[in-house]
Amino acid sequence: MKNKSLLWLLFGATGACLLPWYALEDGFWAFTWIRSLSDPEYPSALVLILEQSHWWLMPPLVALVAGFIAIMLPMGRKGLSRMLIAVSLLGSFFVIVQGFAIGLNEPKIFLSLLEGSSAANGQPGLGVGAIMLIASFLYLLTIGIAGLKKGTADIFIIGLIGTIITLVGVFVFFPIAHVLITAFETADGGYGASRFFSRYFSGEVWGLNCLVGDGVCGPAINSVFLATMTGVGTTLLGLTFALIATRTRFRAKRLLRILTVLPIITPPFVIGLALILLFGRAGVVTEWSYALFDIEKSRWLYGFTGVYLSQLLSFTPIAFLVMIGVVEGVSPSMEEASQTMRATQWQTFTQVSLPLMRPGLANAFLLGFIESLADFGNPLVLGGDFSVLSTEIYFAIVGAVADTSRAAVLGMVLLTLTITAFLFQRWWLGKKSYATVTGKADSGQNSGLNSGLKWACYLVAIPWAVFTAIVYCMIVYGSFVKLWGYDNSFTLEHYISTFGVKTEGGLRFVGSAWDSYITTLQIASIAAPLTALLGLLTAYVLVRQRFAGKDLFEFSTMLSFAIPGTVVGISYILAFNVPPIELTGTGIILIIAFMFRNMPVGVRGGIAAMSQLDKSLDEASITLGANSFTTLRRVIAPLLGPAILAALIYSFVRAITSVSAVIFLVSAKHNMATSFIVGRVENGEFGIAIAYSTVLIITMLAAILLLQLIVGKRKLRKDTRVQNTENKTRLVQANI
Amino acid sequence: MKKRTALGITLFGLAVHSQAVFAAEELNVVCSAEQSWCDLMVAGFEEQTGVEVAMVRKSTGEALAQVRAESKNPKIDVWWGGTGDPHLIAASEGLTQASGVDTTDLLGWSVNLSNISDGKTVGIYAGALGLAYNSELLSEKNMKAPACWKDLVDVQYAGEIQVANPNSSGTAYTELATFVQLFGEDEAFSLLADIGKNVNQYTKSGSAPSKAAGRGETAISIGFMHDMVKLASSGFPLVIVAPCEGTGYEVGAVSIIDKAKNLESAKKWVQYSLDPATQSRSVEVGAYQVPSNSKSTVAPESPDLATIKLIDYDFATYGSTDTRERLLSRWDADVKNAPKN
Amino acid sequence: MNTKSASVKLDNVTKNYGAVTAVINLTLAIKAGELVTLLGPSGCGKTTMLRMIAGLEEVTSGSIQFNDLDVTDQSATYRNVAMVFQSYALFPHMSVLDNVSYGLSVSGFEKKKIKAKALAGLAMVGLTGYESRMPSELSGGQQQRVAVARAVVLEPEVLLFDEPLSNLDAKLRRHVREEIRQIQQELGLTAVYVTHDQEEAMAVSDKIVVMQRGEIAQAGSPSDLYQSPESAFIADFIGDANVIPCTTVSTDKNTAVISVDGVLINSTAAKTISTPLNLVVHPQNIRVSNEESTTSLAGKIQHAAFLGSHIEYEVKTEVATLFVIDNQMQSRYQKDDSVFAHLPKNKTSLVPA
Repeated sequence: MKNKSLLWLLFGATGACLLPWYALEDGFWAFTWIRSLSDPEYPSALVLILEQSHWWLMPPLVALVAGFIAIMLPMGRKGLSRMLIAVSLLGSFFVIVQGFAIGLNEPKIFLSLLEGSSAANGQPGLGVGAIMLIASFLYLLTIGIAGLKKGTADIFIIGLIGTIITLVGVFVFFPIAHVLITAFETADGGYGASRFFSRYFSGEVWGLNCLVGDGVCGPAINSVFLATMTGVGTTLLGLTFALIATRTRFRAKRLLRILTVLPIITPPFVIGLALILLFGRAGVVTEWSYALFDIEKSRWLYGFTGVYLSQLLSFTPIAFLVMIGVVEGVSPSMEEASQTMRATQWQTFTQVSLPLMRPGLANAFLLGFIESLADFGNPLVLGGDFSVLSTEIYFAIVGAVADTSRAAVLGMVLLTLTITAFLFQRWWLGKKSYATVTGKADSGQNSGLNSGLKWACYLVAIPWAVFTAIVYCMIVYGSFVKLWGYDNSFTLEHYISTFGVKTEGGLRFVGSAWDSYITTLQIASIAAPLTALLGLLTAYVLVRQRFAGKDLFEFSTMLSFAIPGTVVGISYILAFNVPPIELTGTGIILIIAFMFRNMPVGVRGGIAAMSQLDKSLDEASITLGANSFTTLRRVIAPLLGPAILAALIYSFVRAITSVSAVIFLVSAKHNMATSFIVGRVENGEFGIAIAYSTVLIITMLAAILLLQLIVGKRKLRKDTRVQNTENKTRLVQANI
Repeated sequence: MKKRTALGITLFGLAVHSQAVFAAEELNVVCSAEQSWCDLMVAGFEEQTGVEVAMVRKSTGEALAQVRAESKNPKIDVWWGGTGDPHLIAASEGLTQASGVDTTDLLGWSVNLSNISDGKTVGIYAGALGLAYNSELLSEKNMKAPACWKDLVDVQYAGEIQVANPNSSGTAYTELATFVQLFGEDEAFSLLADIGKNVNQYTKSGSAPSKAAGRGETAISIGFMHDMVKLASSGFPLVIVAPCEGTGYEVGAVSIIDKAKNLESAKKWVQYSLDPATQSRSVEVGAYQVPSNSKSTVAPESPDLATIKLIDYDFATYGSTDTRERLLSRWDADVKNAPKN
Repeated sequence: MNTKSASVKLDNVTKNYGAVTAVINLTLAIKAGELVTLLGPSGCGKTTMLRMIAGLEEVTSGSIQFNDLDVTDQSATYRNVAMVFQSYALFPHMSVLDNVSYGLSVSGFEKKKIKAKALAGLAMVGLTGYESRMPSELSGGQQQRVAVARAVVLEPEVLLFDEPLSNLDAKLRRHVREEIRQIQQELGLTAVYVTHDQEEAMAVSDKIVVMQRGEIAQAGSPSDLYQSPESAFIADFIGDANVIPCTTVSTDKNTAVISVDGVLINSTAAKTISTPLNLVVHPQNIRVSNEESTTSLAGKIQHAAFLGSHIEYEVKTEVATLFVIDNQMQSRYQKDDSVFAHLPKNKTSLVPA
């Protein structure tokens, strides 16, 4: 314990005495601070105190010194722990207070205290030195807490929980608090609850006129209806695809898999545009059915139907990714047990396999539901007059009457809906155990599907797959025609203008999309592993550890997913534009936004996968002398292969395709692909938008294949064996 | 020997240091015009001044939201392009600062904008509001071509007109304000409600209706004529109509953000964007708006503002928050959910 | 003798799960190199006890010592223990060799040594040649042996078994338990073994601790428990003894005369002779015949089962239904035959009712 404390104290001391205390103009990664550690331009806290009389930085350093003294003193474990907790709490308190007290240009609070001091000119945001000091206080705190607890308390686990809580606090709660405060703003700029409640419960939001009377429903009602339908639809489709992929000998499985993954890697708006070109009033299908069957050309696509269709196309893959892990995870012996009890394949499926997939079904539904609530691209393109909360929020912020307060209230409505769905899911799953992968090796075969169910799956999945395929053909086709939907002559012009290169005088990337393309790939490849790591570690803590406030902790990690991207974007600007944490205009803010927005998917997937791993595997590892970290690394992580892959792919892809949060966070230096595409769509340059999207889709496909190769498949049974009913029948006949 | 090494290191250090100082002239631009136009502006400006420009394209609403959110510590120096109303709002909220640019060569509507805003925003282009119809669809359905705003009331256009929602679109708000200025408030709203009977959808975005008309998703659209010209010149069967009663217009603007970190470069940008040579190039990227400098050349395809009956659009009144909120809430009550034909 | 084996001392250990108390004030000493079985019906707290020794559960109060060193506050990682799980808990993604090497490699042995030790461990359980198989390619018994090898190669201070044989068939169970016992004795390991099967407990243990509702009902060598149970529960649980209500007629220093429904027999005196009393008689010590004697009780055969090596009877008498095992197999009785059950003159003990 003393050694670990000393290590972290030294870490903090390095941050405080050697590294620049303030955030740097060029950014940390420019490493300009390295060649000028002594340069007064990049002073450490120590230098600031000594040379520039920034006396307010003294208290944290004093706390750090107190920490050093504490570990020198001859003290018992409990005493030292208490000392460490006190030192670290005080230290971080002082850092935070000085950060908020002295703003960028002037002091904000304690004005009389700071008057006339060097604080009068303000200070920039916290830099790498400050972050190291805060981290050192955080881990001293967790070491202290671990020291106070007895028995199985594990420094790694407590440190992990502390890290996650701190990160979620800073990057979820802190910005969201900014928006919530805005929700309670009154018309005159003050704060009060009465306007909030009248707006929250207003008939404009919750109106039921589409059910009674002949008006339209409020966006909240529309959103709930759409989200429920989408949740159910995507879960069923996802299950169907998962069953075909794992339980049948369907020949074109690989193709099917690619098709089900395609929509997830499609930039926003593209599916909507393709649907318009197929089913819009001037769409291909509409024209044909008019020419062939004289079916009236109508605008049926615009409204609920179109949004629902495009959401099904967009979100089925997420359900599929969740379901496939779960379907694969159902222990064959359970199904075999059922079959030996004279259950038919159908009975086995409905009474054994399906209930065992309950966590997967619940998670898939929850994801579909929340995705649909937060989706903003599809309703924007296809919604017509069917208004949903996400678009209402967006236009409350950017519309002709910009009203952030109204947006915040609508955001609260959306949040309420998500929380309700989350609680409903918890209630439905209950406290049952769904562990089926135990340490006892399983060599059985997963039950095949009975032929009725198999054909039902095929009947649903194949037309859907064909439909998806057509939509994608339309997209690729669209990128090669001059004027999509009007002049269909072949051209390469869209690709040349976006991704053109010139070779004369060296390779030059002259296409207009290169900048945003490279930035996007960089940011997505940094964000993806961090997101997956954060998500799965959180899942590990949630599934395997018991601690006070766990439910609240789980909920808080889901929060950022529940909040619409637009609100997240605005909240990040509000929270991170000024010191102490100044991140706007950097690439880091995009990475962080992606991490905390997409982490919940890693968490859900990780929880679903981990609740199928028997706890005795962890315990075996621990009793064999491994610590929690080794156990996590060598036992749990390898068994979570599919979940890790899913989390990596999902976060990578989401970083590339998400738009609503990004719109407010992209900066001149860090522009993202989606924001570029949206601009093109707005200007009707569909060809360019589609060509860019096609390139992105291909990039993501390549990345996914690469990831699949790297992470590999989980090797539990030597190969996936699916009972082959035909073979069996043949054997039986041969015996007769 | 030692001395020489030390000298070398010092010189190298100086070189690195000075480089860091002199390369610092840069400019952050948020651009609310079309991407290709933004790209053209940036390339030209960099070439002419040597200032390094970082540019991001955002719609006017998004740009305003960002400027507002970042007001305490702006990351943007200049906001270029996009309809004038949000620029005026930003000026009245103190989010932008006067550029002190010379306006002598500018056309009246541009100077007007500058005067209303105490020089905080200047007009760079203008575009008139108009109608467009899909000629193929119209003949297929045997509908007469509309010539005036009032023609749109005709029941033959039932379900064939598309226009944006003024709550979300600046274009549609310009239309609403134009109607009020043309016909007086009460008549304007009853006319809008009557036209509303034929509207198939109030879109979120102002440019969406014309695109839909171009592709044949709707027969008639209301929007800015330069957008229509661009669609028509790229090949869509759109016919553009300047309504007989007269019409309003938008003025695209440029503003320098308050507390801009690169104020000098920002001023250069404003100067550059009003330069006739710059403005005359806009047609290269299919921007058919009318430029604000009287010495700029106007593209032949551009709607000729001289032949269009333009109203004397009152930007000060209709750009004010009070008028805006009153008109929009009346629109919500009278027009939005009007029964359809 | 393995010099690493530790003695284990549990001192007033209590475990609460919220309002539920799983283990109450349990005190127990285990000598180094001894195999102690925790035996009891399910829910008696034996597995909780084992997990507390392993460090997988925190104790609510009390202390645990290995070799007089207090390990109460150490987590499982830092206690020198190894455990064989009921489900084996073999890592499904690792080969047999990797499974056995795991504990060694996380303890930081050098690679060569790890492999040698792991191979030796596999040889010990007779699985040489299976190194590269995956666990799913082994039979239940083989998996069980891998689990044992994986635990043993670490030469733990204390080796723990959590119902290790419950997933095996009867024949294999007997075989594997003998192997476990043999390995434990050869290496001189301190072992704690949890089971609910009394026969298994008798076969492997140096000492059996019978637990009931979170407390020790009785602890002692297998023969102690068998021959002198201290309660009706122990008598019944160990060796299926008949527990017959009786009264004391007279006592002297070492023996007592007991009356069972009027039949007088001698018995070793219980520590406190109190009434009511129960007489404990093992089934193989009761004889069934057609003739009456001074120690016989009249009864009727209620159930008879021929089991090859012996016959089992249930005889209903006035005082109790007696379970009898006839190893002599000289006569065969059918259901409903009237017979006499002869109680033995000695080989009985007394427990409080």
